[in-house]
Amino acid sequence: LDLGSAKTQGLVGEQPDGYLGVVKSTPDAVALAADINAKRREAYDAIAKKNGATIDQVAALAGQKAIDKAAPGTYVKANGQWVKK
Amino acid sequence: MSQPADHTPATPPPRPPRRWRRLAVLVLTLLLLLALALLAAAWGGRWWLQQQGLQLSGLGWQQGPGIARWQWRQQGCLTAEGSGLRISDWQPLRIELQQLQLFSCPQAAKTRQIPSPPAADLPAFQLHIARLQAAALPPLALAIRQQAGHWQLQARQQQNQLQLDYQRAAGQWHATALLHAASLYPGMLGELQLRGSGRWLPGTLSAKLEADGRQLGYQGQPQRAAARLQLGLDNRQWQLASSLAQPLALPAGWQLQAGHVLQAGGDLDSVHSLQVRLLAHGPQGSVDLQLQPDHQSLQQGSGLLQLAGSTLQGRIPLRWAKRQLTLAPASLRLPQGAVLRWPQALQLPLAVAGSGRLPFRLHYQQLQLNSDDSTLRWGDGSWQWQGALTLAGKHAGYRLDGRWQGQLGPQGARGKPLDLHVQAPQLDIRASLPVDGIRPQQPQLQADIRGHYQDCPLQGKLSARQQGTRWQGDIQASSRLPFYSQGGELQLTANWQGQPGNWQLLPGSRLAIGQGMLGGVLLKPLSLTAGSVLNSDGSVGHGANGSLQLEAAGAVASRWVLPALNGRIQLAGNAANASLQLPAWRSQLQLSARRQGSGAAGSLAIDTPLSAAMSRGLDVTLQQGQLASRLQWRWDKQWQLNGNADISGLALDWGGILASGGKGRLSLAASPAGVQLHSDGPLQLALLDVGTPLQDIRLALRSDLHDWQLSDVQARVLGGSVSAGQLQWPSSAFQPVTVHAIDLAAITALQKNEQPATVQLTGRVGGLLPLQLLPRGVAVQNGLLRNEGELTLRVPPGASVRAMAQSNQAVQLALDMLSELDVNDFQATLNMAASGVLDAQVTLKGVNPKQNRQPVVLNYSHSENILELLRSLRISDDISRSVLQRQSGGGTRNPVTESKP
Amino acid sequence: CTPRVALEVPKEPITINLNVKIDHEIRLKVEKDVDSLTTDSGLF
Repeated sequence: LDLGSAKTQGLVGEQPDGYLGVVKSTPDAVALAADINAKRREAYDAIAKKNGATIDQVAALAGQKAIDKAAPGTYVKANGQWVKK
Repeated sequence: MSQPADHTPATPPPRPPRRWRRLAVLVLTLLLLLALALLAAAWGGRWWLQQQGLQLSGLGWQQGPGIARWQWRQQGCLTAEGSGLRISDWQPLRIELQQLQLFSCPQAAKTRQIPSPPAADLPAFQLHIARLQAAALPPLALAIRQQAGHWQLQARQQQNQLQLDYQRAAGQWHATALLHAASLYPGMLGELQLRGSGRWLPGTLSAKLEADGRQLGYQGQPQRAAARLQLGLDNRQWQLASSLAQPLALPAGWQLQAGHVLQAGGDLDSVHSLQVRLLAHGPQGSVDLQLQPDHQSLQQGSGLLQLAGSTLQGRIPLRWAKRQLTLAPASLRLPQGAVLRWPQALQLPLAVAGSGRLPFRLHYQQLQLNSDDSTLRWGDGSWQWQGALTLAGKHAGYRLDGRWQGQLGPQGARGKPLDLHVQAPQLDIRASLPVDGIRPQQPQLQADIRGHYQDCPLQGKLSARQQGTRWQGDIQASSRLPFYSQGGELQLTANWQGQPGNWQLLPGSRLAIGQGMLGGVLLKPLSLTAGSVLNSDGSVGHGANGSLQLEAAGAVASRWVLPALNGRIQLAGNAANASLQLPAWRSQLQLSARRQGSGAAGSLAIDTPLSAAMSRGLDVTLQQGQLASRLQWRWDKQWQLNGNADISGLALDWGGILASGGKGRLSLAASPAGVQLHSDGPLQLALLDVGTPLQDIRLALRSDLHDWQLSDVQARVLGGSVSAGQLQWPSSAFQPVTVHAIDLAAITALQKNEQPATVQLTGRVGGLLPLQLLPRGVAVQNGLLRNEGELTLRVPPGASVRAMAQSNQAVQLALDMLSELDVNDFQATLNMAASGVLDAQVTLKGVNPKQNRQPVVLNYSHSENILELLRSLRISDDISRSVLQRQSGGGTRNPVTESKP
Repeated sequence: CTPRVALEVPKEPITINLNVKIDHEIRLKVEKDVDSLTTDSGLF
């Protein structure tokens, strides 16, 4: 299961906190989200250290961008609810 | 050819007569038969023979005439059949017969007359029968000699033998016999000596018979007994008396009591009087049977069967009539407190073969086994029960209901599977147990189980076999944990053994739970394997004893991962404790639990190093540290947790912010209603580097994870110190923070990486900063700082300073004036918005010592985004920060006042 | 930055007004890094 197809199948979606959220909790979706979110956290940590920011500041920024760039028809979380872009 | 005897044979007695009397009759028929055979053979009158019911075949001559096979029928019923008949001598006549078989033909019951003796003047002859078979008798060899009315008969069967001597003229006979008890009943020992004599003349028959049993006993039993039987016959009347001198050993450790066992009397047609008194003792107790026939005939009578003993108790009145035995309604106490009852009288035919309805109730503790449809059939040495059984009641906390229908015999059971319904609080299981093919000697049971425990569906197979008084077998069961949204298949494979009250699961028994989704969390497979024997008395709610090995592969959620976990669980009835490890995090958990009321309670101890691996789900990354937590938990419809946690050597980073040297103890009280957290003694942090280091931070806190009350807050920063008695976060109020002895040089040093400091200040300032601690930021309003003691101000000549000076004269003069200033009055009012933009209005009053103490007033306003300043500082001096890290044991800490951009 | 200076009469205290405003353009750097992360890191 790769990220692209997971998103088109509506299994996962982007969240304001910058991390991938599970829309339909299946073992594959959770495993994929866990893996992607770990890698994202590492990237946010590197950027944060490089810019003196905190991880959650970088993550929030990334979240915003990810939602803006989310493909139509995929899920994004808006004030706590999953909505289709 | 001698003339055949000219009288017709006495019609053979209709009933199978006394053994020795029948032999005599037999001889007569044989002689007649022989004569007819010869006659037929001579004249070929085979047809005539057929009329007499005789078929002959294989006539021949070997040293005398012989018939290979012959049969004799009476009214179509085969009475006798023989083979190998030969006449081997004529003077005196000697007939040899290889094999003779006698059959008993059904006869109309008529009152019997005394049989008449053989004719007096028969010619001398000898008759030898190698193998005589008669109903209910083992095959025996027979030799008869008759000469001038003097009959001599000899019968032999293995070592048993009988001699009879009869003088036809005087009618006197006497006989002796030796009978081995073993041929009466396999396993019996000893022998019976018979002596008899009497008279047998036409119209009179008398006998006096005595039998002495010697060394009677049973294989494997030491006792030996002597017995005596006396029989008197006078024409039609007879009496019988038998008695045992010593107890007679019987199978299965039982023995028959000495004394008068049987007295009886009657005539040829019926028994007039009968007293039976059998008293037997055995391991289970004693059985006392007394029978009294009603006055005249044996046909009916009454009796009493009494069972007595530690585990056997009962009185069963019985009656028999018209060949039917009736057991009156009675109850029988059996071993282990079971009671067998039959509410209605039981009717059984008194016959070697027959069947009877036996409805009964069996009570055992709180269980009751009922059988209304219950028939027992017996015959030719075997028996078979057929009917339906229903079981109901309680045992060891379980409610049992069972049903079975089928047949039961010595070879085992056949019929529908046994259905058993087992219920207990939250447990409902139906077991179906096929009975066909279960061998009674060592029963092998296999049951299919279906049902549920709480709301887990349950189905599987249970096998069981008996090993002496214990049972053993294995269980395969599968279920699904309902609270898993997906997966969560449960497999139990276990070997068990035991007996009621003490059941054991053998080591290696295993419970495996497959991977599945629990809420949003992917729970990887886990298993519990019995490390030792698990003992339980099997009753509900009593728990088990023994040790289990837990292997869990961990759990995965979208933001965090729990690594593999394993360890040992020790079960002790209603209590258990476990010591578990998470190798990946080198964490140790000690968990204890005990049943308490309708819930449970226990302790939880966590000892773990803090590491980056644990921080995946956190916004901070734990670098180092040690957590030791001691908690008590309770669960009774809802959970409750309280205890404390000791953290030491904590180092973490929050992105660019580093903290290290964290130490402190937190007390925690948590329940679904909320969490109460308070520090126990000061929480300390050696270093928090937010761009500029805050050091030796100490505070006490109280929180419900939403509102945080900080108290006795103090820290060293910028060469001075910051402290606050009480701080509430989040709060819109402006809470005073006192600042003391802040080194102005340190403040100006903050600029070093932006551009060379335009102004150099030395000396200490302090004051009050009203802080607004917002959910997502910090603000300062009307902060006031004053000089503490003398300050000095320098504007050092530098490239940028020279550049400004040349730009215009006034600037030149000012810079000259400010080149050096001794300041005695410094006042700064500070305002910072949540965005981090600081607006500082500073008024310095001082004199320039180089310009003959020219008094100067500097109004300096400074506007800068402090948060971005600090963030830029966090970037620029990475190198120095890493140096700093090594000095103070490294790491970063949790920030207090960082705001979001 | 652009400092501004004013002049007063000697012996009377000379009053100098100095206004400093410092800007940091730290924010853009972070956004650039995050942008490149969300486009070509394969994690979005």
